[in-house]
Amino acid sequence: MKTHISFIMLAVALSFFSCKNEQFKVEKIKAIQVPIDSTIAMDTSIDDFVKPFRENLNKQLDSTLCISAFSFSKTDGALETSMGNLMADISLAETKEFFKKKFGKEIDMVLFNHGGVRASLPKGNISARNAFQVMPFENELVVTELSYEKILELVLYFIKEKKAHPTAKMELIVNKGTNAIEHLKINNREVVKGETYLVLTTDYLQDGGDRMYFFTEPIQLYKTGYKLRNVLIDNFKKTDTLQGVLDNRVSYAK
Amino acid sequence: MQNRRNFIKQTGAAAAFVGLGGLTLQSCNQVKNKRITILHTNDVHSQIDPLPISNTRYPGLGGFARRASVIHQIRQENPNTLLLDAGDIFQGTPYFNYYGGELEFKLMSKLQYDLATLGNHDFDNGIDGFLAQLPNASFDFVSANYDFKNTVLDGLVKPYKVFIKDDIKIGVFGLGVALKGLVKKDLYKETKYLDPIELAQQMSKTLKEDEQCDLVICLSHIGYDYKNSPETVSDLKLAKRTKDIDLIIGGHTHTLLPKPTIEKNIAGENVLINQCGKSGVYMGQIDFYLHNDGTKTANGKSIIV
Repeated sequence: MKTHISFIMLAVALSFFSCKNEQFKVEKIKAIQVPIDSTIAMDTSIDDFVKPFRENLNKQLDSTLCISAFSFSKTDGALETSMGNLMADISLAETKEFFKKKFGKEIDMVLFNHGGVRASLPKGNISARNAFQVMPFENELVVTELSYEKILELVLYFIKEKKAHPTAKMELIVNKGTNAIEHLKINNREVVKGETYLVLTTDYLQDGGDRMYFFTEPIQLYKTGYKLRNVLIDNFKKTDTLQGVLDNRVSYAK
Repeated sequence: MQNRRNFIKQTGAAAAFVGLGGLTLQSCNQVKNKRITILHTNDVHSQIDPLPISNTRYPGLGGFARRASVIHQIRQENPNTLLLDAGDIFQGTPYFNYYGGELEFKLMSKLQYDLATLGNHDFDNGIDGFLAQLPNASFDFVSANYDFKNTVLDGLVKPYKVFIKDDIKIGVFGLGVALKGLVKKDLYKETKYLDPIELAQQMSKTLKEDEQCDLVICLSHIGYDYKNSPETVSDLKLAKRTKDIDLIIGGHTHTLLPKPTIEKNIAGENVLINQCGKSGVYMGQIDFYLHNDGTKTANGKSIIV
């Protein structure tokens, strides 16, 4: 009897203890990935909440900013394309005055990467949505001051890649058989040892993106704080009609 | 359905106890079964509407309005549910460019998110841009390894948060990815990145020992695994080098795990790691079944994935 009571007391004491610090242990875990697909009905209150944001956004994205008289392409040339030339020319046009004013220097040339041009512009109405398609990333324009040696690396990279990387103000004629440079001028200047050149590009490429390592340690780096997409949108707003340009700025020797 | 099963289990266990010594007179001594549901998303990247049908990887998947329906249904079934996000809420659609994250935070509040951590893209409008949107978020942000002391977020982002659901204490801490090289310094400013593993060890100790949490969850944006860069810290490494973490909810690498990974921690216990791709195409649902029956061994934990 005595042992029985003490057993109960111990049990009660234990139960008080466990009551205070009730220990819960995981016994079982079940996990599933729930697909959010078209079989699920939309919560209409959420969709109604989004609606004015969506409509306002679509209005802004789809309103015509300018007209394109040309069907731009990313593949209409060997070493230059109409789409690449447009991006490079617009970027230079939108930044050169501001850059001169702020730093008292002239941008010499532009280089982007062909892979960074994510879409081309159709003939007809051009909207901010087109700019988002061409440039979905948040890349910003930067200006790098490069030495003569780095400029040569840049040119050799361009020749070796055999891709129509967008450029402006770089005149280059390459011998297709030997890869020799037959003509090279940057901003109408000869490329001379000891000189430096200001190259407009994006922060992504400056960081070594697309293996453009010649950009990574410039003599001087100037940030513009201007997103490439916004450069396009601002330019479209100012422009009446976009014209396509293929001017053999970079080409193989005939 | 669940309640019925619990009821059967409880009565069954109670009957066994009566046979042993009538101890069930103490109500707190009853064997109880509880279920905690964890729902999670990661890298939603401003995907407010479903992805377009033309999307090559996840055609037509995702969208807040659909996700809301699923969450509502799960919460009705089990009110003891936590909804978490592992970061990169911002950036990816023009909604972010035009509204700066306002819609993302407002919608997450409407869906009653409980907690989130910061991803690198949540700095895309600068730390000030993030702060500007915080009033639109009814939920908190946690990060244990971002030191915001000398930034505008000082005091606004805590290392962890403890929730109590059905008397179960759930501790959730946040981890962020190294910002250098990933985000421009002018955006993250004086935010200091600290070692995730060190902080995770501290956090799990705090949550398990000081806060006496029953469940410890890590909300991580450090990435699942880096095969080409074995030195880089990842969720897999984190799981192996820590203890007392029950679940790591991941992000950053946009990994769609067909099912959660089970990894052994430093003490040889199982850790669950999950990540759900990107853009809200999938939502993870992890159900923890707990009991207070000390007679069952702790090793009996079964994971059904």
